[in-house]
Amino acid sequence: MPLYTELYNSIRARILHHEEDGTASSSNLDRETEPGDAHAPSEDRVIFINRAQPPVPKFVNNRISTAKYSVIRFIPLFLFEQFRRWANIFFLMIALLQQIPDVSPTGRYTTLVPLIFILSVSAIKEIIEDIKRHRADDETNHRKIEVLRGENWISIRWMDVIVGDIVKVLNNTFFPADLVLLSSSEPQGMSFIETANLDGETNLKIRQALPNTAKLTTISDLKDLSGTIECEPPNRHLYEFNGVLKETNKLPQPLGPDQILLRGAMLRNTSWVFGIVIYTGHETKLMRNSTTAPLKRSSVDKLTNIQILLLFGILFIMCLISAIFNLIWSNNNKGANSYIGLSETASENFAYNLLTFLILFNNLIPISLQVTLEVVRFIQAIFINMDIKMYHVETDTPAMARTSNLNEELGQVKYIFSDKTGTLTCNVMEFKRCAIAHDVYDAVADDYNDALIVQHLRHNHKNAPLIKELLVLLSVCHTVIPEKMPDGSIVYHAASPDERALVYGASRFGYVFKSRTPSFVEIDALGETERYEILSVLEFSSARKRMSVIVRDPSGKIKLFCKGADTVIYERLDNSGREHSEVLLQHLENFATEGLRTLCCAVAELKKAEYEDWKNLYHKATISLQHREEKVEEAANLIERKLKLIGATAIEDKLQEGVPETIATLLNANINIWVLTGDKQETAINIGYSCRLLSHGMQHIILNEDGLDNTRESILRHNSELGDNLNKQNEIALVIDGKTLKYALSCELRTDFLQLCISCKVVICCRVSPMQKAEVVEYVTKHTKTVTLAIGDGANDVAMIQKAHVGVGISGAEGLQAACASDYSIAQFRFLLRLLLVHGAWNYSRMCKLILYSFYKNICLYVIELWFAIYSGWSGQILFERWSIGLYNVIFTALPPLAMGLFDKACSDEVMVKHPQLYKPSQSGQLFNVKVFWLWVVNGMIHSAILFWLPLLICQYDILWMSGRDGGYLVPGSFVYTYVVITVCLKAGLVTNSWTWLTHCAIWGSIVLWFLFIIVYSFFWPTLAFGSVMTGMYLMIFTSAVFWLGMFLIPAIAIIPDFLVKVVHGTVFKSLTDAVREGEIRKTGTDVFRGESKNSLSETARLLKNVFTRRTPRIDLEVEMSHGFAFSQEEGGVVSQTAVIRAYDTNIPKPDGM
Amino acid sequence: MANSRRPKDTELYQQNLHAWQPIYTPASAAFILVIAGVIFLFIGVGVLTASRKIWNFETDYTHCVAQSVLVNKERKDVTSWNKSCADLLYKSYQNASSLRCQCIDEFTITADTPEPVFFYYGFRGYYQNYRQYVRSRDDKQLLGRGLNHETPCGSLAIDNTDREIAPCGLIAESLFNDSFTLVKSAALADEHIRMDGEGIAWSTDVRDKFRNPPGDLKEAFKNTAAPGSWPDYDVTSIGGGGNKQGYENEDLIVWMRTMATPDWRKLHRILHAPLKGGNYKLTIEYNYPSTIFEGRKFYFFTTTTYFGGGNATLSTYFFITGVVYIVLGFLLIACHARYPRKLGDPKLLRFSYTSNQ
Repeated sequence: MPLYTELYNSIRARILHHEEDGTASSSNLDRETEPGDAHAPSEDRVIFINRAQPPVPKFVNNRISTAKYSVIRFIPLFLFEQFRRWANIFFLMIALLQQIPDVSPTGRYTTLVPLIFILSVSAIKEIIEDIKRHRADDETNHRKIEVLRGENWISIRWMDVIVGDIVKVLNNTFFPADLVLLSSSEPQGMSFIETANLDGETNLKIRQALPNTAKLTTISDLKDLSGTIECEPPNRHLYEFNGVLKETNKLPQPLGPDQILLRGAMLRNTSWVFGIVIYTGHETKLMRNSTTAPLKRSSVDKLTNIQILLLFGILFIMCLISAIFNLIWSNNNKGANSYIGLSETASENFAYNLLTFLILFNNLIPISLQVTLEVVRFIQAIFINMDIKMYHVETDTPAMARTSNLNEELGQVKYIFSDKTGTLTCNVMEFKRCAIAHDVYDAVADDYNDALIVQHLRHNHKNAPLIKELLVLLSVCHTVIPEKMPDGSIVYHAASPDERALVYGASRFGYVFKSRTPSFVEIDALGETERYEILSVLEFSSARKRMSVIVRDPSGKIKLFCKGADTVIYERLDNSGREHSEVLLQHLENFATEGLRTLCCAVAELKKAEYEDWKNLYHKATISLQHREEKVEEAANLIERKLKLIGATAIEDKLQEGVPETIATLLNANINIWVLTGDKQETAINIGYSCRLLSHGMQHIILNEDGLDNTRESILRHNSELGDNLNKQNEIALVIDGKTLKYALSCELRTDFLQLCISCKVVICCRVSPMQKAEVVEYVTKHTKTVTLAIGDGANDVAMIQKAHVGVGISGAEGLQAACASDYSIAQFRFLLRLLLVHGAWNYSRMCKLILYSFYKNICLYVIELWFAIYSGWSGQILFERWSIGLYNVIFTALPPLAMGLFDKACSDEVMVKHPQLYKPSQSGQLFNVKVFWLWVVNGMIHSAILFWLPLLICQYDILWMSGRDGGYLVPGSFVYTYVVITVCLKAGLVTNSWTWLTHCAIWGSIVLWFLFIIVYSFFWPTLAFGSVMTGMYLMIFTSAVFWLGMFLIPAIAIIPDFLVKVVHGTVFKSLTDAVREGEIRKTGTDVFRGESKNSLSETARLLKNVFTRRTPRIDLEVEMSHGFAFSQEEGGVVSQTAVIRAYDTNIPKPDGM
Repeated sequence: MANSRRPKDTELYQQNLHAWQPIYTPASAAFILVIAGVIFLFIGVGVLTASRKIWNFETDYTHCVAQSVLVNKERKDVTSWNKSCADLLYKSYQNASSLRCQCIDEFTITADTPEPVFFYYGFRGYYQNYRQYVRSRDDKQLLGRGLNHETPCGSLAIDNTDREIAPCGLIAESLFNDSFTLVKSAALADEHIRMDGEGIAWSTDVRDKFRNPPGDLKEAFKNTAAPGSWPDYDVTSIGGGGNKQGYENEDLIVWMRTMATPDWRKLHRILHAPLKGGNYKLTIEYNYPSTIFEGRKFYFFTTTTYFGGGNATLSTYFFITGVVYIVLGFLLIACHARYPRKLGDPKLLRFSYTSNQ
């Protein structure tokens, strides 16, 4: 888990980095101002290779700690945390006021003790959580890594790694510290690293060792290395590094970011690397970026706090009124001084009285609410973690609530912002189909011998030559690197997942790509090994939308294989090569409708002379000093022509399980889903179709604009075309790219743009940076004032996950990524449904009930003190025993709210998912708003009045015992208190929909507790030095028949009206939830409510249909969209695609790193 | 799967605990109302029936006419003055404390009363529930253990000669000191009616809250002072209240139990024999000032039943509630019969959440 934290911190760094880029401030400048570096040694760090490091300066060890507290720091830090909450300060203040002699009506410790109790509960919770963090830290710190010690590799714990160690990192493992890459198993010291955890990019990055060290592939080589590495002091800039390798007797060599392997990244496709540790533990760049997550609070929580403030207002008014009335009373009852004997002056008295009443009424603010909420949320979070229906068996991943503050917020989500890769899709590409000539071949079959494509090949179908050509192209024209496994199988490594899918696909049909050397590739074509010499590689770029290789085939012919978007291929077709082109377009459209990613494949045969001429031209272009890119592209254009169309491939970007169904249900729950992806537009649109966010009946608005003016013009035009439908939801999909988004989100256009967005059913933003994702989320959150949820798996989603009200991380196959920054992590997108519709809706309703009830029960008891003041000359005398007052919240009425917050539910989980409409009451916040709150407050007031006066009148004018004795003021007090406890418990029962045995325990148990308390407390005095007023109370109460009769009558009088209101409301104004609940309990099925208002295309939207097809900024975009072209490949990396191809010789065995 | 993170599939964790899910329908509500109403009516009748056996009467004697006064240990008949004791004590005489005033109330009982008869004194407008008053007592002292370290009695704990005031505080200071004697008028000689001061306090109070210091009573209280407003007695010589003296005196114990409202009464004496029909004379030693604070004093005779006193309030509650419930119940049944509503009928839904954004 600390690794998650590390990762997520690093992502924050990346975002900061973006900001830095944006403000164009020099990195030197902010390095100087960086507070974290203030105490770091300002001079460069010198690391001695293969020698012990000098004692000064001392480097930190590699142990990391992400825990919040240590044993010593716990008390001060915890208290600081707690007393940052104003509620706790308030209660502390009350506790202090109680220490003033003669002011407190309730003694000295009646606030302090509950406060300490409550703080202790919080402390226990904090300790439990922190122990988890400590354990997770230990898990990371105790991971093993091989370190060179003497002549051997020795396995030690991560925490024992020190600066200067030479470590060996194996494939698919994390780097234990920041390392300088010395050498690797791959040619020229290359190594692939996955930085998805750091920056969210799924393609692999290449790091390359210095040529000097790349050859150090054995222990003895390493032992011979001597010298120093000088590098800058630790800092938090992930993409910068400056250092020098000074080998003894050799020229110093510069070290840059290309040689750095950062903690948090993972080694991929590389058997091993050797690296020397330069930064450890908290000095690694990852940990340097440690910042704490923003504290998120739910809407319910915020609303509660506002209501508490209002209650404060009421409290002060009550105090003021009481103090004033006391003044009046004193003036009118001067005679009472004969026995009361007041000596203070009126003004002094007034001030003291104000304090007295403040102490008396402070309990109107439920002291236990905060801690009850914390406990309930904590356990609700456990319920989320333990939900077996959100447990992903394949990856052994349960859902995980990382914060529990937002459990109820899950029930109020209105907008979902989803990442694409890894969230909606599995990030697995599969070669699904291909179209050749008139036919479409299924590329996925159980037995490939039966596959149509194989049959056609074997039986020399008329398509056979084309099929062969296509399969050769797929197995030759790519940048994939094969690796022979010990068992003889071949594993393909690729930066492009599309190419990998295609190569695997071709291999299934007997065209197996076997090996790659810098000059040729070998394939096994239906059992025969064929060698294709790679003459030239024309790289893929998103501008070119195609990739070509020129090869010499086994028969000596020079051929150009080209694969790319249909638009670019079609315009380069030779007239003779256009056979089937029309049919193919039809196929492409069909593929696109299914959401498949299509590529067109074409071939051209070149004459030798023609090629040689071009080669020279191309070479010149590649070495030109000015406008190289353009010139290279022009040169490539010259050869990529007169193509002959072969066919098209369709790759499925595999959706995660159940994504379309989940999206359909979420849309039914009135939740809007936006897709924000860093991926290309075409990919995003493909996915939109395949997960059924987009449909062909839908209108599309595509915003691809250059410049602010165009964007403005476009947005305003669309807005005006929408007319009255603006700000209402229309059956329109909006697609916008990152560049346009930048303009659209500028201050000037923002509002218009957001209006346009809200008017669309689906919004897809593509090519957006992490910052833009965050901005979109932030602005929508602000603009719509509704609850937003962001879901993603990559570090690039961290920003939006933190900005949204609720952040959900996909703890994907690797289990890392954005999960650490999220509030909730789930293994699969489909679990979101359960998280929102079941846990969210349940928790929302539970929390609302809990909070409202907590206020109600406090008002119910403590307002009685106000009523009693009328009788006690406004002196602030309490009607109840002081500890009963203090313990009301922590003992006698503590359990029903807990039961309510944990076990109540209106409908079962299956029903909640089956009827997404049940989400709407919680989504629109109907269960807790200002109106509902004050209804409950008034309810509490009425109950308190009933519960005070009815028993009081009995006690005042009647004799309660056969013995004729009289009780003191505490007898009516105890009557009232008992009836209050019973009434509020019954009220809890009344709002409870579902009584588990624990609910029964809580409700009836609370009443029993109070009775036990009376009995036990009655015996305290004189053995214990307090509670003298309660002496014999059990005797007085329990021997009074009036008490028992009143116990049945008075709570009934209070609660029956509530009961009737509930019955009448539930009958006459039945809500859907009520109806479905009744249906479920009576098992009468409620299918009638399903599919209430789905996909009703508004009339206007239909009319608008034509309007939007009129004009698109880039003509080919619509076509491309409808043909589904998509391809992903790393562009502009450290090592170019050609370089990778030319670097590898898979026929040479890799060094084993011993 | 040894280290599987698979959650436990228990009913508790999966939130599948078996639960009772009540549906409150109009029919069930009507049923509950009618049943509860009938029960309440019956209880009301029961309490009322019991209370009819009760005999009681109450007299306000705040302004009772003075019969005689005791000035300088000399009793003087002042019937002719036609002045109330209250006036004599607090208006006419300057040194009221040295004056004792006596009223005589006469009343007639037609039929024999049940036994025992309880005799109360009571006040209206006496704020025994005033915060500063309620607090002003030292429970430790009353246990015979001396003053508390931080005694709540405040300035009333020690007198100006540095002696501990026993018992201290405002409550003790204002101890009720009217006394009553009852005689049945007879042709020959008035029959003295025994009014018992024992058993008026709660046994728990007697046992656990009020104890004299160990040893001889006089000796134990030798160094203490009586509260300043006590005229001619101290804690060892409080009259009445059974056989006990000192803190254990039941009159004191009863007084120390402060009351919840300004209108209250306290049990003063118990008559263990029934009062036979005839004329009675109640002689009141009128000492306690109530007109100063505009309070009213009264005395009260009553018998009790199992439910305590007359309990008119309680039976009224039961009657009203019973009737209202039954009426509501039938109203509900009528409404339900007139406009029946089937459970889970979609036509009767009020979609209170029509997407409001």
